[in-house]
Formats: sequence, structure tokens, C-alpha cells
Amino acid sequence: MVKVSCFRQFVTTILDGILKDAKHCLFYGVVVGDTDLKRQVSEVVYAVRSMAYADPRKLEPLFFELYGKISSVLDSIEVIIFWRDKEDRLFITVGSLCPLDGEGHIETYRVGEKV
Amino acid sequence: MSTTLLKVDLDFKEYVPYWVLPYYMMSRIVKAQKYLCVLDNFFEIKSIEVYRTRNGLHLYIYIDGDLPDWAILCLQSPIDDEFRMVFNVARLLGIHSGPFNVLFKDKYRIEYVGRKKISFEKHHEAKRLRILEKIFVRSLEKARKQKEIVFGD
Repeated sequence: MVKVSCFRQFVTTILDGILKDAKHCLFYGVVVGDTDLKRQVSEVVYAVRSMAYADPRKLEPLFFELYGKISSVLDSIEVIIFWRDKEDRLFITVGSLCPLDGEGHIETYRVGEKV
Repeated sequence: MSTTLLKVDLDFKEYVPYWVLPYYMMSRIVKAQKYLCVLDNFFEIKSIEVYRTRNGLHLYIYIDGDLPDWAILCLQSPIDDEFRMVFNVARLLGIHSGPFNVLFKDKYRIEYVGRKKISFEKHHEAKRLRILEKIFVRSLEKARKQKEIVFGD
């Protein structure tokens, strides 16, 4: 698990670090409210984004788009990225960031095992 | 290679008045169609089955790869029914008992005496919506020629 301390680091760690060798990505990003379950669900449905891109660098605007959807300091950004490396192995990267304190973490799984 | 089954419930009738129903149905179907193209860009879709239900459609999407339950939930979420998603999340977290990610074939309401069938999936081969399946498959074939596909609000 990788810990990050701000939004910029969160984006850089994912795009320049983890997805450096990715050749194909499928991106899901969600802004989640914190307390009320009803609000959480509506927020998820509203903010869901899914894109398949050949180049991971093109994912950068999506992070900023998600950041722009934050309406409260208690909201958090959650991303799930499915990606394949050059040997066509499937990985899933899960990231979470709370903009209030800037704390976040990123985990990567290879399908079947944790990396 | 192993296959993963995604199950999607598209409900139309409960949410909108009847005079906007055709437009609403088409918008949901087109949204699903676009999303399937995006999904196919990453996970190769092996086959799609579409069944008619009392309130809408059931989609069974077979994709390449053996994925964990939470990944299945994530892949289904953009087009799936909201209530179903909530129950699936609760079942995944162990808050709600019951099997994960089910689509009913027959739905019953318990009454004072016995039970009454209130909804059902027309799952006979003859009732399968093969025309819609062909439309989905044709759009997938077209989308395979594109390198980038975008899906969003």
C-alpha cells in the first residue's frame, strides 16, 4: 500500500508510478459523500466515469474533473483502474483520497493476488 | 481463459410516467450500448444475452478473465439499477444476508395465503430479445475499430 499526502501526489503516483508500464486502462472514478448512505449512493451514480484509453497519461484530466465535483470538505475521491501491462497481465489499482486532510492510499492487485 | 459473468438489471417502468417511457427506454438502452463498447475495449466481451422482464431488461454479459466480486460490482455500476447496487454492496460487506449479484427468474410476493407471482423473466429461448443482442453485438464490432472510447455524463 502506498500512502500519499496531497492530491497532486495522488495523481502523480498513479500516473507516473503505477501506470508507467500500462498499455491499456479502464478508469472508474467516483466522488463519495461521507456520512449519509443515501447521499453516498446518489453521489456515486452521478459522478461515475468510465473510460478506456490506450495511453494512461490521458487519464490526468479525469482526476481534475473528479476534483471539481467535490462539493463538501467531507467528500472523498475513489478511483478504480483496471489496467494491463506489456505482457497483457491484468492489474487493478484502487485509490482513495480525502481532500480535507489530503491523506490517501493506493493499492494495486494483480488479479488473483495482491502486489 | 476463464469467463466472468456480469449481470445488469435495466428497469424502465417504475420510474417514469408512461408518456416519456419510450424516450427513457431508448436512452437507457443507448447508454448501456455505449458502456458495453467501453467495456469491450478493455475486457473482450464473449457474448451478450438479453431477456425481457416485466419492468425492463436483464443483460448477461460474459467477459474474459476471472475477476473478484468487488471488481464485478464496479464494472456493473455505471448502468446497473441503483437499488440492486446498494444490496450488492451490503452483501459484499456482509451487512445484508443473501447471495451476491443475483437476478431473479421469477419474483413472488408473500401474501396471507400462499404467494403470488408479481414479476418474471421471460427466459425461454423464444422470448430472448435476439434483435437487441444483434444490435449490441453490431455496435461492439464497430467500436472495436476505434482506439479510444469515452463514456460519461
